[in-house]
Amino acid sequence: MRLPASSLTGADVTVIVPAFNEAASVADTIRSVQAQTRRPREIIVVDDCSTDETASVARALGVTVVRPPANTGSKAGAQTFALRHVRTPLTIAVDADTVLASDAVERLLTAFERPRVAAACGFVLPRRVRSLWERGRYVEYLFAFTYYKRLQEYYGKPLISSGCFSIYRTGILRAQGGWSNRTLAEDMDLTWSLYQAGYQVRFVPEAVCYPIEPRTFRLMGTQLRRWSHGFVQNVKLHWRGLLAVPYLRSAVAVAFWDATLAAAVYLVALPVLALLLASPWVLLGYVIDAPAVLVPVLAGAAGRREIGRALASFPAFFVLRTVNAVFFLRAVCAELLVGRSLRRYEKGH
Amino acid sequence: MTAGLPGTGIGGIFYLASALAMPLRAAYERLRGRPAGEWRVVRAQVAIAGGILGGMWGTGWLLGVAFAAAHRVIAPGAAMPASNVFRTASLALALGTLAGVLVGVELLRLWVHRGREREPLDREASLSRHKPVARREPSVVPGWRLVTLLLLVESAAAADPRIAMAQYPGAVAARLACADSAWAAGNMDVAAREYSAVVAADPDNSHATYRLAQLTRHDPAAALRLFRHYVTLEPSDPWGYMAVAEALARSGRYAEALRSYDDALQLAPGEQDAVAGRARVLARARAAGPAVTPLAGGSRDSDGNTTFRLGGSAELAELPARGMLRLGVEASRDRVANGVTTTGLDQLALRAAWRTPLARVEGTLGGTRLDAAGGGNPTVFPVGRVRARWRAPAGGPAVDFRAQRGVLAASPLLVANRVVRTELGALLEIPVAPALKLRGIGRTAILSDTADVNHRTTLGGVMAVALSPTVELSGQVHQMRYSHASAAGYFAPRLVQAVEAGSYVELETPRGVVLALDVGVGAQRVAEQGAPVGTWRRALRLYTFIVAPLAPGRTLQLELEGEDSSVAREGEGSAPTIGRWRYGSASLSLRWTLR
Repeated sequence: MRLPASSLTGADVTVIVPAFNEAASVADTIRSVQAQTRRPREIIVVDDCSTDETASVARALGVTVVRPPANTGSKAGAQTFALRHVRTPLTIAVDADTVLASDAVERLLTAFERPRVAAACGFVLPRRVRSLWERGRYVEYLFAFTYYKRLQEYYGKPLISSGCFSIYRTGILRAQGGWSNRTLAEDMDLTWSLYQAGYQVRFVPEAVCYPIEPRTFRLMGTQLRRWSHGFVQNVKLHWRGLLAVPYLRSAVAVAFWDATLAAAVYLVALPVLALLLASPWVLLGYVIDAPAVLVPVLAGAAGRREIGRALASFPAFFVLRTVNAVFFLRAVCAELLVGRSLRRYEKGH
Repeated sequence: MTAGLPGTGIGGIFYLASALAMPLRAAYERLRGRPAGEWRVVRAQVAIAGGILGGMWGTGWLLGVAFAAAHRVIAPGAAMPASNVFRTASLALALGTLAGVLVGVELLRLWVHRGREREPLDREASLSRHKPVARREPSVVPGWRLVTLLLLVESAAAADPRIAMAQYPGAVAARLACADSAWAAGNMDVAAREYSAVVAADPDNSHATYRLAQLTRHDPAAALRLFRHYVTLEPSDPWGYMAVAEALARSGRYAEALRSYDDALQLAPGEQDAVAGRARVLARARAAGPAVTPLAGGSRDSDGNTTFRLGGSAELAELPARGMLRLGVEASRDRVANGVTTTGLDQLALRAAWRTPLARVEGTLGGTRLDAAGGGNPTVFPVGRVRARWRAPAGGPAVDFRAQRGVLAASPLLVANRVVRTELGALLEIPVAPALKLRGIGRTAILSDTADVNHRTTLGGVMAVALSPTVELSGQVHQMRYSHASAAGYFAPRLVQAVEAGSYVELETPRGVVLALDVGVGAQRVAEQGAPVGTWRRALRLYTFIVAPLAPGRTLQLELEGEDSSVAREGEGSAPTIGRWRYGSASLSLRWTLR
């Protein structure tokens, strides 16, 4: 169904907010959606059988609250449950710990000027940048969304329409069966399925959202475990189909290589080499690309006038990247070598 | 989620290649008559890629230095420094791996497709819940061509042609919303187009009129007409009068501008912006009058050369001439000494300055008379300089072009040898983000003296980050070459390379004292003619400009400059050795407006 951009308004949009025990953060999310310059027609909070006050907090803010008969077990399940209640041509999924910039929805709507666009996502930045892990994630997002994702957008193939804030054409979403829980990264699964079905996905950097990122190692570990296993599961699931999608096939292959062999070199080869050569200088390899990484990070931070924050957070990026490499390597071993696939969805924060 | 190892690994090289391929793809799309996407995006990503390449180069060099310092690795060959080994080896490894992975993917694709031709699609394996839409694959390319052209092929085949931003037919309100959205996003071209359309359809739309006037600043007459129209539509809005006043002031119509500010202040007594704007215009009106500026200054370097200058300039009042034109004359007498010899020179030149909202042109034309040397006669050389600066509206790209001919007079030897420099130079500035600018600098000069003609070329690159409107940090790389050595009194090495971290700060006190400070800290290395490149040595420079208003129309200006390096960046100073060379200068002037 083609929707001319000039006709799109907030009345064409329903927002789904999946929530399981999110009483502490869901109010901020709802308020930020209600404050949009293009206010959505309806906000549906999916209370996925929470044991806290999530539902009452949401109801008090005047939004629709739906509750499945039993916990769906994943964000994908909760979102798909709500999809049946959507009566608008566009659907937005927003995580219950994510707030949106006041014009984020308006910006995302511009992506639908093209008829083949099925989904669009925005620029993601951590809402809080305090702990080591939040700082690492902040730099990682600045780097990825300023550099990698804009390049992917230029070549028409954003790797993933981020699950924390994305917009979809409802009809196409329903035709895909909603969000699938066959992998732990339902957003990646959906994005790659859309590409294989011949649709386009857009990245709109001006549409900014701010999720709460894991602030402790335990929470970060939970999230990274889910993401790394989700990535490998999606590669296993889609690799044949992806081979027919130019640029994306290369981007995924490169990411998979870096997640496996490059990660192994990164984690093992450098310390071994340092021991063999009896030279601690070899360990400089862990930060060898710091100047190169700093360039897009500063470019992204300069636009937001956050250079000081980016510089202060920069060292944390290398810590997070090392941890990230460990989790990706473990996920590859578990999913591909040992055959022990992770199926249980755990909240990361 | 960011899969892989963001930054490092072959992902970094893949995206670097993707960024560098963007201009090629854009050119390809344009050649085929298809929209090639926003040039702004291409420019920004290529600039980032350029910065990354610079970072990689710097890292390779630093690693080489670190390893050499540690003496832990065996030198692979005397002719090849460790830094080159690391740079070359790591790049070759990463590129080779990337090519291997990409070729592997392409071979896998060919193999899978061949399999599909033989047997029906394995629905279970696809695990898709939809019927994949058949996509036309590009014709099969021989593998060896894939190896060499892989990245370009990928980028060209990647996306469908971009559809140009649709025109919004229909209601004025929709176009106005679109214009506002473009304005908020900083897309000024689209905003101007949409606001124009709104004003054309609804000439009484005050909001669109005001915005369009703001976007038409490069055309002062049109902007003034629009702001005046806005005032007729919204006669009770003081901001309209203030905008009119500002437009008038830009056209040099200061008296009318002051009256318009008075109108604004009647509607909004005490409005801070109006008060400040009026004061600014008053100051500009005073500064635009005829003025004289007596000047005294001097310099000293570590080779014992000193200069002392007495001079001044006189300027006529500004004249409106498609902008503002100011004419004047400048004269000075310089005494140059080195403790043994003393000589001097006189300079007289006409000067002109013309400025419009987008461009500024300044120039002088005159002569320099050098005192007699070695029993000869005094010599007069025609000298002059032209500087033209242009900046695109809304903080866009800028170009600074200079041409000059002048006498080098930093030492008695230079004066005695009648060294004259004729130079052409340009600076191009490209903003890649709201606070990030890239600058490229190129200059070429001919240095002629009584016995010889030499050539000098200078190239430089600057990445500048504006921390605030008055504070800028920069990273700079410069390279200078002379065609051969000289005995005329200036140091002419084969090659000079300099890297520098710089900062520029501008401060203004409530009393109107302005301090501009330009500091650079870095390193230089020099290769003399026929000799290898030497070691890196510290290089420092400082430039300060202080303007202190003494009374209305009278301003004291102090200029200080210092340098501690191997070679003067501008090459004007005399540096007969490549040891430490220090230079300091000061200049004090009083600008006195005569009405």
